[in-house]
Amino acid sequence: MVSPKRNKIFYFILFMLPALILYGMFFIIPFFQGIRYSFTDWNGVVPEIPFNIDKTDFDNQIIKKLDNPKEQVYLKKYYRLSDAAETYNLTNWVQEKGGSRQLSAAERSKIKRILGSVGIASIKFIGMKNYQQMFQNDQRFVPRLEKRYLFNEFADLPQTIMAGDFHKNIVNHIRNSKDKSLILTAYQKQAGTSSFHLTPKMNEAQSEKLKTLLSQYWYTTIFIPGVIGFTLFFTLFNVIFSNLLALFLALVLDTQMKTKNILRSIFFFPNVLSLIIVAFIWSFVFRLVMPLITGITVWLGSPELAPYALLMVTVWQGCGWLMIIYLAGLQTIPTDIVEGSQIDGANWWQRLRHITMPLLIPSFTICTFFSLSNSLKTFDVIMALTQGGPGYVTTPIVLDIYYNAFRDNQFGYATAKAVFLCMVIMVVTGIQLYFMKKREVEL
Amino acid sequence: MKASILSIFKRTPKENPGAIRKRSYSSIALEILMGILAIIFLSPTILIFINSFKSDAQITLNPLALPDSINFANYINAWHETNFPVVFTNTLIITSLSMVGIIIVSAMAAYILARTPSRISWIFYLIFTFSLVVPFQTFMIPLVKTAKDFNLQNVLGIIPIYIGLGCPMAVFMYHGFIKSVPIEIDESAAIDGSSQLRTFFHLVFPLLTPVTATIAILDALWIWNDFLLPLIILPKQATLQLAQFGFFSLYRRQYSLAMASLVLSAAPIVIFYLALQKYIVKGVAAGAVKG
Repeated sequence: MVSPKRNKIFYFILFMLPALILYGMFFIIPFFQGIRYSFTDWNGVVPEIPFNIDKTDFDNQIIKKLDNPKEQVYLKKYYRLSDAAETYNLTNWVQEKGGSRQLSAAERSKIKRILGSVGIASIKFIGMKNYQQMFQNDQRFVPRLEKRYLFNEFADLPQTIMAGDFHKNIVNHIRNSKDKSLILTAYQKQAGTSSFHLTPKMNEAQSEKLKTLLSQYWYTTIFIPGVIGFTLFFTLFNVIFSNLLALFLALVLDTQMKTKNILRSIFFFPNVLSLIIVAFIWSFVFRLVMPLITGITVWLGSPELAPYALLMVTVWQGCGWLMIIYLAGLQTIPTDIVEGSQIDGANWWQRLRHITMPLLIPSFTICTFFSLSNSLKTFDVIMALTQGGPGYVTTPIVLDIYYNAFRDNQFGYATAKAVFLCMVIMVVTGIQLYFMKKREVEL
Repeated sequence: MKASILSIFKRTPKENPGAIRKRSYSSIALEILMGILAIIFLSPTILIFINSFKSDAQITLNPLALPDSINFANYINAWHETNFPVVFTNTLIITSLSMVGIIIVSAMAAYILARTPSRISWIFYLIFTFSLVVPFQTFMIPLVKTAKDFNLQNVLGIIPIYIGLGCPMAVFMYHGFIKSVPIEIDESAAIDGSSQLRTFFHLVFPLLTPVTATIAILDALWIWNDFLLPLIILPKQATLQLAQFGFFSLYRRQYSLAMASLVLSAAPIVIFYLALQKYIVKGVAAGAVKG
């Protein structure tokens, strides 16, 4: 007779096992492997165990150092001497009775462990270096100020310089008083105009010196938002615009409209399409249709317009989903409260402000949570529409991670960024949930 | 406030017929406004549909014009070029089997978690919900390695991966719902001698149908439209999305072909949506509120 307690444990394991195995295999283990890689310099290409090892290295560095003869035999089973007898090559195929099969994961990890015990590893642990690099030596990652030089040393000296430009972008940058006076004598303000003019009487040496000075000091400082800056910009505006539009649509569709079911289906429709299709549709619209309607020919290639074009697409696609959530929230508001306020003479705006909005806060919480975490993770649309360009103007963190991993071959570094993003998402959504949950009204 | 009594009279249609007339005018205006908004919303999709019947020359000449004649040449070409029947079947197999798998596996797990009030089940529940905030990129490459090690880089092999990645959300939603199913059902079945496995599949699971429908719809949309996971796991051109992606990059400048293949590949999911839109919209709302 089985005791009830053991019976309970048996069923607990039986019911949990399928989910746990698949979840563990395809999420938990890869997740922790990912975290481990974020502390290494793995480039994503080098295999974890070397394919071939020099014969002398193999004999002297590995076999001699291994004390356990079993391990020596094990290694020799998988590393075969090449025909030229110079290197040992890893055999990817294992001969067995029924034929041959590929090297299994368990065998690979055992080889890796044996090689690691004598100090042979193709992946090095570098501690927090990846995380430091992210904020210190990554040109495109963090927001920064950049000098943009406005004068080329080999060009001719400009005849006039506008007054604002002259003081702000040249004179203010010069610390050396001798250089300053040279510039100030070379360029004189002309009465009646707002610009500085080059004095004609100058010899060759002076003008050469002047050219060097100008090329050195004539610059403006511009702000480069970087990947983090764009991600924040995109997230902020995407959350605001898609929620506003969704809320507006939901409020209108909640009234007694005849066409409300059709309209609801239409506004939700973009969610049904895959992002690849959405991206193609909009690249067609931005390339051929928008120039026809607006007269602006370049949309996705322009650094100024591309971020807004992307926002347009994501708001178009995302607001239907949020609208449904708001509609569901609006339907939970009891009609008697609304009717009561009507009887008390509250107008449309007062009802919205003091009754609908406070009771809708649970929907706000859900919608901001969804749009926050989705905006921080937006990948497909941007990848298909702009590839993060022009330059890196529209590169969000996820795309930057993808580039680091697959184009720059810095897999360890890319995973470090992904772990960083993961923490950002947890912190941001955690804060958001904490503060919005506090404001929810119980009926 | 001062006109609170008067306002009751104002809102009575019999007393003041002008009020209702005024209201219907504004509601007509609102309907027209929303109609315009809806057309703007749909216009990109409509444009694609219109242009899929045109030749390339006609498209570049004026993308806004209607086609001269209905011409199915683009569609026939696209059908053959994308190998549509095979790709469609692949996607259908992946989507439906993963969906069924997610539902069975996570309903079981959520059931036992909800019915076993202990610290261990709470920890398991937290472990499952944890994945909802983790971006896919964090474990993308190790996942590819796992798939390679277990020989899962094929149409059937991607199904367990989808089940593993899809079950947290489903466990989450089932867990919330099962708590509202009375435990007396289980207890009386146990007294009648039914095993827990039987109780679950014969008694509890049928009661979960509303959530099951929601999860089925959400997962169908997700898996059918998913791009990144098939891109890194499956061989080229295996699913509809991959075939589309390859096709778009191949025929970058041949809009006519690309658009016809786009309409073809979107058609199944659009028909699915049009047929079940009522349930889909309800399902999304239910899923979001539960989540």
